[in-house]
Amino acid sequence: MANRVVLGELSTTHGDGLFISQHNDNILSITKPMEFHSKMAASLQVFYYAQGVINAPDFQSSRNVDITHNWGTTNSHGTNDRPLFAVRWSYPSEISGGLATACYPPNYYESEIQVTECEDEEESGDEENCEDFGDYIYEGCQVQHQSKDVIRIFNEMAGHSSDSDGDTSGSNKALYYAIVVFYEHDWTKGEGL
Amino acid sequence: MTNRVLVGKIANGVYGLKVAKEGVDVTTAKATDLLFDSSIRRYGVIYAGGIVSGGTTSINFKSSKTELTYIPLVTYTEDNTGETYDNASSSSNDYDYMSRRNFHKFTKTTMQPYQMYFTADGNYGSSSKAAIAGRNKYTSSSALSNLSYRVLRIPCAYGYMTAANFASTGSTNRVIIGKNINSNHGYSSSSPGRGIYVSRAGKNVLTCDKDDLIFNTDTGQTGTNFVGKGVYQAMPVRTVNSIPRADFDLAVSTTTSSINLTNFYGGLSSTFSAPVIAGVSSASTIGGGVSTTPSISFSAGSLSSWSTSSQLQSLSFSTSSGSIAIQTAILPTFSTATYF
Repeated sequence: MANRVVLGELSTTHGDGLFISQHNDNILSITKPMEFHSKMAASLQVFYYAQGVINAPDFQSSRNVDITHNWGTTNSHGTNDRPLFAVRWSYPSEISGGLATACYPPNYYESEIQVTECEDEEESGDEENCEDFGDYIYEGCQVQHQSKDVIRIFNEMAGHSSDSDGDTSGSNKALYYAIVVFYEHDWTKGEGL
Repeated sequence: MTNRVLVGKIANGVYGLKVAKEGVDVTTAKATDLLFDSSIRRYGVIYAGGIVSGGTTSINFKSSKTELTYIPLVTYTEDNTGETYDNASSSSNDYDYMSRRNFHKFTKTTMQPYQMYFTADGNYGSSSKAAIAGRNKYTSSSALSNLSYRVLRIPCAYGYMTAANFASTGSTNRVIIGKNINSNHGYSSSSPGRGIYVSRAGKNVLTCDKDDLIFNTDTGQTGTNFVGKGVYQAMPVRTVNSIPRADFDLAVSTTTSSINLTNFYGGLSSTFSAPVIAGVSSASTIGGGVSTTPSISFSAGSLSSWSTSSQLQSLSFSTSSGSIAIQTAILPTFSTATYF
């Protein structure tokens, strides 16, 4: 059986602390990175968790909710510090018995089809009269730090709309979200894990 | 020398295990200066992971393991990140924009490369979903390339963010150092596990389920006995107030920019001495505006020579065109397996 755990000084290279090698790897002469190394700069410890529903947004707009996790104040961080976090979202149709059956990382989507409609010259009695109309779809979720204590989650599920009638046709949707905030500083440029 | 590890009484009436970051006294450390604290709710125990070079097929990270009771947080990196508005010929739209190319769908047992696409016509209804499998609706710069993923024993989906999954309370046995015979962890008196095991608050480490462990020593268990393979860790690249930090910002352009990595695995074989980048992000995260994001090129293999005494290595970044500020962290190459 290999030596696996050192509590104390491992070596001059690795220093003091707690060290655990991988299965079958001798902690005194490792050949692989360790399961736990006390010289690491960061791990993932959950500071805060939450979930909720953001109602369907209106025509060509988003709706949002502010998550007040108080990471900055609780841990005495500076004004410009931000916490590491993860957000996942689900469609209403993916909620069964109050539980998500699937989820996604934040992603905002929009698409467009341009249609040009022209009146016949005979009908207008003038030069050809053309007009561009667009059909659009808006979907997804976005997330943004607001401060050291608040993260904002956007429901971008405005659905289908059209220049010609502006109707969302009831295709806008609620968004089901989950968020975890960690003790560590954000290294994802606000994208989240 | 600083006190780094505390085992036993960690506060009035509270017993457990704490490990502080280098240079931090564990008896006075702030929560954010700890690498491990048994009083926290959940920890980054790695339930599964692997490396996938490409494709769009669903990845079954559960395999023969015991299925999780929740959709877990999956952390991942891949070469192509950031926004895109370059649709492919397979798109019927005049314009498609997606703020995140490295998009996936997660379930309790799987993850799969996804994209967002729907033909912008009147057929989009209340049950329509733009999130669809594949990456074929955008140009090849959105294809899956060199996916590295780690599945963590942390719930992250609607319905699972509950006190039952995160915030149990109560006084009980929390730490085993030595022999573990808990059958729920796959052990017995005749075949014990040996190492360090810590349960979540309120869960008795002698009898708790494997998912209630927030610290585990892997003994090579497989199948339904599998618990976890180590924990999520990021490597030091700088210090702030003499405390190691993993996160860093770097202005990157066609001219090489570098950071100094403290690589305490630099002496290992080439398979494990080179670290991985924890998701270089150059994406705009709000607004959905159209902009040009330069592709970022880097090579972990271009690390400078390792200094035995300082353990420092320089890790270089550059763009193929333009310039951008990146923010990321560095992880050790824990495993090179396609799946574990």
